[in-house]
Amino acid sequence: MRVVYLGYLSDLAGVEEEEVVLPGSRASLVRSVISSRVLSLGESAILILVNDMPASLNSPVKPGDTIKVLPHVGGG
Amino acid sequence: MRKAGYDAVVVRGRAEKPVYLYIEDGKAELFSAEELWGLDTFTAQRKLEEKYGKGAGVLLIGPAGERKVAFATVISQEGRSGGRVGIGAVMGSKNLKAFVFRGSSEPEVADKEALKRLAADAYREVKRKPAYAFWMRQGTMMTIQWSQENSVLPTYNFSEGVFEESDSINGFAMEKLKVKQRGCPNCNMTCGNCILDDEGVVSELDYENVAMLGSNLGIGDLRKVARLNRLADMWGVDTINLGAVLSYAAELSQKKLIGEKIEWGDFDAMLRLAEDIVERRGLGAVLSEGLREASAKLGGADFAMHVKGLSVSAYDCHAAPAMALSYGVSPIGAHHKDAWVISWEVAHGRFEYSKQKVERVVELQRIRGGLFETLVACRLPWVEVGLELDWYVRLFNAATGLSWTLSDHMRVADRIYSLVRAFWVREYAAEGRGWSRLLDYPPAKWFKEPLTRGPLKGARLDLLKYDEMLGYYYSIRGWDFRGVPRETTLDSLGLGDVKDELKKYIQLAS
Repeated sequence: MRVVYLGYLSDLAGVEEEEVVLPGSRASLVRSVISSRVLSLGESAILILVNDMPASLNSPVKPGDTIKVLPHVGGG
Repeated sequence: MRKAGYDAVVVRGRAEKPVYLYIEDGKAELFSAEELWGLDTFTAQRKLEEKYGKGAGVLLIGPAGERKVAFATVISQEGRSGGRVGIGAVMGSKNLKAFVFRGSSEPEVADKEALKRLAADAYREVKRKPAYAFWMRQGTMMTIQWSQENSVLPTYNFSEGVFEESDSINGFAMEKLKVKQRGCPNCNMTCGNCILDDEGVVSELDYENVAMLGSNLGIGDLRKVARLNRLADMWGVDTINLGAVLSYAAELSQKKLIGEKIEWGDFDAMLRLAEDIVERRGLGAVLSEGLREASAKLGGADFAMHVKGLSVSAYDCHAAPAMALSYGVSPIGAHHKDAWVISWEVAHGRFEYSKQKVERVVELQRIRGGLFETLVACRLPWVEVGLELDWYVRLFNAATGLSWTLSDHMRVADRIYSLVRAFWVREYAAEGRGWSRLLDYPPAKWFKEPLTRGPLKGARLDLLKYDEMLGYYYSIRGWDFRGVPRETTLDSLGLGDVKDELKKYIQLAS
């Protein structure tokens, strides 16, 4: 599974993207596989996409999925 | 302006010949601007600075304002632009080229030491936020990637939310070309990221400019986008409106509703048409009146992307009903400034039409359109790096000596919203145009033509559900089914004089 951190979240996670192997190749939840430092910002501070579709920290994920974690932004 | 002794300036009437207004330490004087008339904003600013020094504050118009292009802006500091709704044209109509301010006084504050301490603390707090370092790298340009990922990047006149060349115009592409960074005086999170455009001239980029003059026109070359952006600033014309009328013209051309050939991504054709708009020649003359007026003459009203005559700024809303509502009920037409709800909406269901979303729009209007606008404070520290709202309230109290809470500011915001709405209704009634809730609808394209690409392919807005949200918005605001403030609402907000004025033009619900 690929986890991509966008914007300043890549600074916080220490990587722009990483491969995460799920134990026993089982399904899991988004919150179980993303960086704990990013998670510590709180649910209201981040946005989640799974395979480019809107999702949440409680969305199920499986091997082969791509999770993108985005910050909130305010626009120009 | 404050150092020169003024909070605001009201200019009445029209000069016979071009002038500029010079204000220094409480004294105001008009001088001839005949030597400045016709000059672009950068050249005219430099000439005024040669005369009055770099420390002088200059607000001025360019050729677009002089020719009264409907979306002409007021420019300062070679690229800082204000007035999406055409304040530059108002100055042009008065033959007023510029304001020049010089002053030596300091604005009075209630508790100077407390204010200095608080400001220093807030500065430190901003720099401590985890988002700060990345913000300093990309500023609002990081939103290009964000919008692409969330399928809201305006593309081909808001037909799509993803652009195949977004990587070449996003914040990372900008970082590779960046030559300097600049911002407002004393700012510690400067948002102006500058690159050299394809003519080798400095251009200051931000999200709105690049989305509207880049992806929305199908142009994927950042240095070319930067040239259009820089020229718009030199002409004194709003980049969002300019991008919107150019993309509307390209769609007219695509649908063969006009004879001119303007293809997506054709930079040279877009540049020529932009010059024609500023010079008010041919098709450009029609487009210079803005989208509402142009579409009344040329057709294509469904894809003239505006609300109440003001073009939509750079967020596609096929799958963002709250952001569409925010555009629909923004007090100046389709602008993102007041209720920039899209980021929150992405986390709360793209296809939901809920009361919670409407309540969030109102909450953001109160904060961004009320609190920040009345304080004349930048919103970026709050939402971009996370500076808590309480800082704004404490700084306000230290400056004024008042002991206001956030809810006091929210009441001011509600007064502003009903007052502005009353203004709209009166002006429409005075012109015999009547008022309708349809004026609070976003452009028809988002209801009628679904996205054809990207992960949200097929998405479009639901008209009936949108209308339900609009009705709930009116009920929160205390407005009737037409979107007109009720008598009781105006009374409760202390706007009794507004009620009396409005009743001359329209019957009010109790």
